[in-house]
Amino acid sequence: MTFSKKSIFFGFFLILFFSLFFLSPHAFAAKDIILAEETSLKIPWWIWPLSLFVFCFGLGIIAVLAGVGGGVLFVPILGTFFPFHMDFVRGAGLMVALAGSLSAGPGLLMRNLASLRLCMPMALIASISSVMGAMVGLALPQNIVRIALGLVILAICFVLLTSKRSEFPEITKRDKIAQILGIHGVYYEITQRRNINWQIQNSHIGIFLFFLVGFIAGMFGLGAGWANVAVFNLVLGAPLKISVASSNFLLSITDTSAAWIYLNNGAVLPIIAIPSVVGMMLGSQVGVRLLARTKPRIVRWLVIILLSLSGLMSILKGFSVI
Amino acid sequence: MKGDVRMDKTIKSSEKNIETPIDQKRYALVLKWSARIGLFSILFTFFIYISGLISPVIPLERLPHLWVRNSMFLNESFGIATGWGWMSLISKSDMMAKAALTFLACVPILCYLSVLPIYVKKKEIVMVFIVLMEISILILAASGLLKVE
Repeated sequence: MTFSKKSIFFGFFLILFFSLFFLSPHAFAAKDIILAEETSLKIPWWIWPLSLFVFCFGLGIIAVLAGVGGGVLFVPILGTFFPFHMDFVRGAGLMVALAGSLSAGPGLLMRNLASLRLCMPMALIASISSVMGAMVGLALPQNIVRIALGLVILAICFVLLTSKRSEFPEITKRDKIAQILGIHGVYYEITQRRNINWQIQNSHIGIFLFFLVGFIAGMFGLGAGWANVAVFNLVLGAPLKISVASSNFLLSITDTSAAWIYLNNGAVLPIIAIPSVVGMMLGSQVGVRLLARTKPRIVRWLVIILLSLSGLMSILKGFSVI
Repeated sequence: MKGDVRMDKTIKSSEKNIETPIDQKRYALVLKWSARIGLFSILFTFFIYISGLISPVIPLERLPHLWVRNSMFLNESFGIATGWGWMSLISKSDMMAKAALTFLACVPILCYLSVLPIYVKKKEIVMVFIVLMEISILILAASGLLKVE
């Protein structure tokens, strides 16, 4: 039996939106702890990991098709539509981003698409700030985190809408920090059937931006692919493929440092984290296969709409409006 | 400069025939196997956890009462110590699953440790410094010393 690409695509969106409508009344009722507890209790425990698996499987597909990391979709949507406390959502979000990045890392490194020398200095800065962000995030009250998360998500939507990417940026001035660290490389560009040499510029600006991105990632448990790619590509001037791959690989280091803070503070519940990790990873595999047959632009718009809604709802929940 | 010499070599390399730097190769190899072990472990321990073969610290049916509250409340309710204190409960199935997730978070530390001798051997002082700093940050984060009250 064969399915057309349209039926597969819309099937997944139907599942996703059905899940949201099924779960949202419970989440909306979670105005305070007592109500959330009551609504959460009406459903047998095993429904939750199963829902998480199905939900994250859909998210994994969409994340690949839209070209954003799964982590950035996971936290705002799960935080809005599921009755879990934000501590556990963010802890699981980091594990989701970490697991995805760990499994993709070896292939990207061996193909010279992710550069260890490019990532290591940036990872060090982002790790320090993500630890700081994680500690701030866990110390703040849930409503403040929700409001701040909503604002960050809306800002991410703006970045996704406005950022332009450059496939092979031109480097005008070779960077001194990059020279000292030996940051440059070569990879085989299959579309042009030739080797592409690359180097970077503006390392000092990049280091500052990675500090900010790491802090946000740690504080909200978001994967930072949405920002990493832009910094690598537009600020440092790395080719787009190198930027995407290095961003993916970088997450495995920066998210780890923040994940440790959540693990040590008991904010990672296996019943939430593991089905999410497995669902997202399997969904990503399906997403990669569907990538060639779908229109990424439409998916990208849907993701922006979905994120904007989650961002707005997160703010409203933070103010206890819903 | 060392970096320039290395780039010249890569520029001369023939099409497709690009050699992956040795540090990158070592990192990728350690990452590949440790990530595989980690992912297998989380699946295995999760199966034990939800199948009920071994009892958990927090009963599964009580979780919907608890996941709406913050992590501090949950830790206090079940006497789960923060930091590495939870390891004393490792015989419980939920803590086994947590240990598997913890192993995943150890993977980058293992990878960094594996490339350190390469940079030491090449006398790349800046890279040695960066690797040692990253390992220190990860170990500090993992130590449990950074507690949120």
